[in-house]
Amino acid sequence: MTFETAPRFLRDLETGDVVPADLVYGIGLPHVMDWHTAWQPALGAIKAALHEQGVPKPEWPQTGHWNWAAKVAEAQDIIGFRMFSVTAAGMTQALMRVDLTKPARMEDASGRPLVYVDYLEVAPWNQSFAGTRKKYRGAGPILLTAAVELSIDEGFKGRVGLHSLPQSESFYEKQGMIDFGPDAKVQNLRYYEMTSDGAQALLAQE
Amino acid sequence: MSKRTMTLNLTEAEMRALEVLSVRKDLSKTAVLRQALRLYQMLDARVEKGDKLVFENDVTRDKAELMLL
Repeated sequence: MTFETAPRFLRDLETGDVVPADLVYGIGLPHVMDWHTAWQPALGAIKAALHEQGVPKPEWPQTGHWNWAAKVAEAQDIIGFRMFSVTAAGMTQALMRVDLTKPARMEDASGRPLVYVDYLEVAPWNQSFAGTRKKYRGAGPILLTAAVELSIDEGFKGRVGLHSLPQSESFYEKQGMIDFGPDAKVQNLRYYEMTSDGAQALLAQE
Repeated sequence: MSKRTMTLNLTEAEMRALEVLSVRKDLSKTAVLRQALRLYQMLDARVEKGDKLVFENDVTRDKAELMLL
């Protein structure tokens, strides 16, 4: 299956260069294969290094157990789910699955639909653990912006919601999302929401 | 994403319900119907897998199972 794409850019943090990237409106077999054959070994190497350095487990990658093959299979042919990927340099750099059937919690939009980010993960080499340096910067913001754009296209006024893993909280806060605090119904993960105004501000930055 | 167009015939009551939802959810009528289809398909897929659809009152904790036809 071929998906539509849109041109985007990442920053190579080793060279400082801007690198052309594609926002892909779907997750296909090549992306799942990248996750399996490149992300998983890279994640294993990071975990081994963290183990050797004696880094406590709570500081290890928190998305290590996510199985993108299963997440893609679960969403197949279900129109309430949408999937996205970011590719650059011939490799999948980030993946996201969103759900269009969840309601907003923000007081002035309570019960109205939003784009709920089920899962968003950037490739292990684009994350920083125990002093390691990221390869590319910008894949996460490309995906969050795609969620906002989808929300606007669907008439949801840019509203986006998600539960964040502890390691990602500061990222979502920097993107202007409102913190609703820990959610006892979802493993006590903090729930964040992007308001319509926040969405406009995020798009204006792009 | 390419889109297809269809004509939809609704009764007065159905149209009123659509208009009320359109205002309450701050969505166009088309967006309400697309949202309804997403929800129906997602719920149907879950029920097909063997899940139950249950409503629970946050205050009274009363539960009621909804049969999806």
